[in-house]
Amino acid sequence: MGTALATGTEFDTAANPLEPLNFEALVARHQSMVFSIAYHFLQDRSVAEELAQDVFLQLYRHLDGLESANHVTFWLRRVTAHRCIDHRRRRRFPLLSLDSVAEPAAPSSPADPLLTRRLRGLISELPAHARIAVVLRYQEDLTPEEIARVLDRPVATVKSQLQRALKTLREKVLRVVGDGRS
Amino acid sequence: MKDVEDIELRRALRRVDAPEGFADRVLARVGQPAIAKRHRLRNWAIAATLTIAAAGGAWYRAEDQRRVQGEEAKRQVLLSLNIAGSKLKAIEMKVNRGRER
Amino acid sequence: MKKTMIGLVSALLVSATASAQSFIIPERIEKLAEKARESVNITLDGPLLQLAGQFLNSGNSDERAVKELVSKLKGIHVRTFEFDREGEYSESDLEPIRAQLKAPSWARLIEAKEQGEHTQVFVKQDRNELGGLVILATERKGLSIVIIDGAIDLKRLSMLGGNFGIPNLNLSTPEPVKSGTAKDSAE
Repeated sequence: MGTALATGTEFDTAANPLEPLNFEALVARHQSMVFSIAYHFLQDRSVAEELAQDVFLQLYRHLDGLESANHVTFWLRRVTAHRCIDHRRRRRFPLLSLDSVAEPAAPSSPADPLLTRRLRGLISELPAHARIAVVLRYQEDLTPEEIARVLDRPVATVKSQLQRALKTLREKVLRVVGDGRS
Repeated sequence: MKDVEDIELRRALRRVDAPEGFADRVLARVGQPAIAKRHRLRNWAIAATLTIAAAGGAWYRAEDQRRVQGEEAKRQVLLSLNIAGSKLKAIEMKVNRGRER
Repeated sequence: MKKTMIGLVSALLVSATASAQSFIIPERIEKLAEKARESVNITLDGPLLQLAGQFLNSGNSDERAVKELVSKLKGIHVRTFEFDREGEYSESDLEPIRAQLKAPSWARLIEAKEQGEHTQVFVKQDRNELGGLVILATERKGLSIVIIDGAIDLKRLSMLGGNFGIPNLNLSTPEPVKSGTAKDSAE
């Protein structure tokens, strides 16, 4: 899956950098990234873990086809993103699950924890492709061009989705903050 | 304004830790020994204290998260009834206009 | 001919499942959000409605009324889309929904057409009470679908008239259109 990327390894290992020993290293290195993409998209801790595990199982089966550390990162983001979108499509009624009661550990000191949580909730209401684009942009710091490669979509589409998503979030945040009922 | 937006979105979407034992569970599924054996805590008193503190913190976080979810669910209920109501009001007006003609 | 047969089979399948489980919003409707300038997507199932109920203030008369209304519901689903251009969706996108509304338990309560806007309100009869409400509102550059699943009390809903924008409709006992006519008018 995915196009071959230019080589340039970050792993200074022996002859075969992707032998089973390093699969463990790849899991340790990338588990936060993969789980976070799934969690921020799905807003469900248990489903996100299940999805993230499946991604790594798929990685294990496809190790031979990957050429470099950069390729692994690209591949993981792509597979995770596509699995998130497919999961959203399969559910008839995507739910804000009560399973995600305990928030995963993360670096602390948010300026406004309520805004942060509401923002996450509002992001989870975005349409699937816009939602994953926002997650890849602001969690992984990818450019629209990089997001387009990960999602296999035109750059113009990704840029337009990001712009619309930000506009929607901006307006919804203002509405929520200004809503006397809440 | 855009910088503030960027900061808030990055904060909301910062990476979070995978659940404890995640890597072990993945390795178990592919048939490899767990990593956790290498990270066993030796000082049980410290471990016990940390566990109790974490449990208390987790409970407060859970309650807090429940409150946020409840308020959000309430907001969505009110919004959905608002939308339903506005559509019903619109059709009522149209029907009344039709009757008056 | 093949397309018609596929459409008919799909409609029948959707109709067959609709009576056995909750209303289904087809994927082609969900995908409209990708084309929309603005969209609202609300999905509230039983547990979430219960949770919301716990946060509605019983000391406030308006919220208490909403709380009572919501207490008997199984789900609320809202999809609204606003597009920049006309023609971003077609009647065929709505066919799976209209097909579900042709089931015998559904009947059209009221309908209005005016200047490119077409709004229909359907109710589901469940023995002697209403088991659901669907509002389908189409405009040239917009689409709204509201699905309320469960024992909806239209009288109580109407009593919220003036509150939260919910109108007074004098809807005591609905006299829905008989199923035969409803099937025709669901198109």
